[in-house]
Amino acid sequence: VRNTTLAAVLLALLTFPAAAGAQEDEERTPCAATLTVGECFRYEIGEFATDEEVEKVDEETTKATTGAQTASEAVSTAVRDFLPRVGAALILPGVDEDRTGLALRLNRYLGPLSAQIGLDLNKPALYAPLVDSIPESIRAASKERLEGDLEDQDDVTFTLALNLEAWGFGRNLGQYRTEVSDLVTELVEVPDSLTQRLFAELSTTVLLRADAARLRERQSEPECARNLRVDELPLSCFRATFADSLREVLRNTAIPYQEIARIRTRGLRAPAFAALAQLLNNQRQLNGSIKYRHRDDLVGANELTFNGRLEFGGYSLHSLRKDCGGTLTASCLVSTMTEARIRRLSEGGRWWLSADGTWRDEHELALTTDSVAIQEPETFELKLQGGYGRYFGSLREEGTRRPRIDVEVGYVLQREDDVRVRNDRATATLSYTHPFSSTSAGVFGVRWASEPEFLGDVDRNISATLGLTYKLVKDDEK
Amino acid sequence: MSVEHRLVIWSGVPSGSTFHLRVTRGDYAVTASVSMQTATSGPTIFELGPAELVDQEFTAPIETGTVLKVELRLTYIFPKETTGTVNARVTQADGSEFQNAFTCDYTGALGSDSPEDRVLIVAAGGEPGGGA
Repeated sequence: VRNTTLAAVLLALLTFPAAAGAQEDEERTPCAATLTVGECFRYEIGEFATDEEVEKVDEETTKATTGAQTASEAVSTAVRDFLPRVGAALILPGVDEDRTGLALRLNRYLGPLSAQIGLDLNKPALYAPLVDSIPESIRAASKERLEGDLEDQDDVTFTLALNLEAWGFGRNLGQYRTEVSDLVTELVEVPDSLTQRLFAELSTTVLLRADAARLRERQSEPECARNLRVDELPLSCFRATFADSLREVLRNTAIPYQEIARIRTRGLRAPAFAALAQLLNNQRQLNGSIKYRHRDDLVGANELTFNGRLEFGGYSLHSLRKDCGGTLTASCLVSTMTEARIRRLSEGGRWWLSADGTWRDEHELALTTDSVAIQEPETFELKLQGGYGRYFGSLREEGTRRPRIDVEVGYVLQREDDVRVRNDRATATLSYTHPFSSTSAGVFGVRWASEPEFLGDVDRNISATLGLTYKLVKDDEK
Repeated sequence: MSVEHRLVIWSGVPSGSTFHLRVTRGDYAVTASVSMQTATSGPTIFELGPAELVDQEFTAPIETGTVLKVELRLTYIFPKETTGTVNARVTQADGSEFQNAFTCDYTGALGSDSPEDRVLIVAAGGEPGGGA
């Protein structure tokens, strides 16, 4: 058996050059007359795929984009991007949230800030504790009567959200677009001689003759119709001799075009170029929002909430521009983005600070006919938080499917009628996420709180959790 | 890494027609190399950028014997997926469109599998003495 195997291997090695030659011959097969000129060109540069192959790719793409992107991203807490929410609201005004009511959003630039102004008409519903307080014997009748008193404007929310997009803050490329565009152009520059060769191979003589070479007798057929461009026509719509000339031109043009593609792709794959994406992603973020909810006494108390968040992502495009003396250039990018700096970028570290406040107005209501009264004091809660998150491992080899760690500390203050309540507490959370595959990840978390009752375990100050996340849909392997 | 290539050709464009090319504004670098050849002069090669293709429409007259070749590139410069639209068409002297216009949406992102898209466009007038 061993001798037979050895003989087969030797035979394969001996015949390999011939097989490779046959493969080359196969690659040189002229494109079929049924292909359009455009398809033939793509065939020559090795890009044209059959319908079956396209269907397969479409199917895989659909599968890959369904659901959350990766298991580990789902627990990423340090990255928050304000812009897509604005974008989504722009595209789908009023239907960006799954809710009962009507939401309107308006996006505007206010100087260096991008702003979103919102108005939500929530469907008014009776305040639940109020309904629960009504004696059971008359509850149904009272509820029906009170609901009849509610108006559309009895529960309205006004929102203003702001995101700073200047002075090195924000991921809006607008402030760097021209510079980055020039820089990219410089990085992927192709020699003039190659461009000249590309244009020379695209034979002027053949192009000038293409229209005259169309078969007049076939122009009544839809696939050879007069209104179609040359690239939309199958080669069979041309005189046979001309179709051969066209094939040759397309084949010759594909050679320098492929070389151009190779040079540009090499530039696009350069580590410094790849770092551009991360540099932009690392821009500092400062955003905030204020929300006022006006409610009728039957619906609930008026409420004012605000949120502010500051995020630092390490070395950014802004830092690079500063290091480059105020102007981004390709040479500065390449010399500044050393291997060590690129490695640090791949950690994707983020520091963040946030403040969330909620002020609720006092709520007093007496309904004598229903024998019920509500008296709730004014309350205020302020939550101050800070955190840090980062990935471990190589971005190039593993992408976002890497272990990551997140640390979060916070303090919550609560007041009732300006008096401190016992609920004030400090909390800290440490979580470690370890992806096992593209579909599953393990999460280990440790939580500490200064008031142990908030941990759900009255005997200890620290609680630990261990979890497993699993995605049913497999990501596209990268 | 997949880069999409397209070839677009108008041939037999009537004399006095105009070629139009425009790219929508977006988070990508727009560059183009152009070769313009007329019946009386050899090819002149020049470069175009966003100022000529995005801020305004690039136009070129097409006469008998004219061959205009454009190699257009959209290189994505933003990490989030961006879509850009390339619109090319040829209008005749009376303003009507000559054959089908070319409109295509291209999507890609910096650092992604689709960092660049390319379109090779040709607008050729009739052959001198060919009667087209």
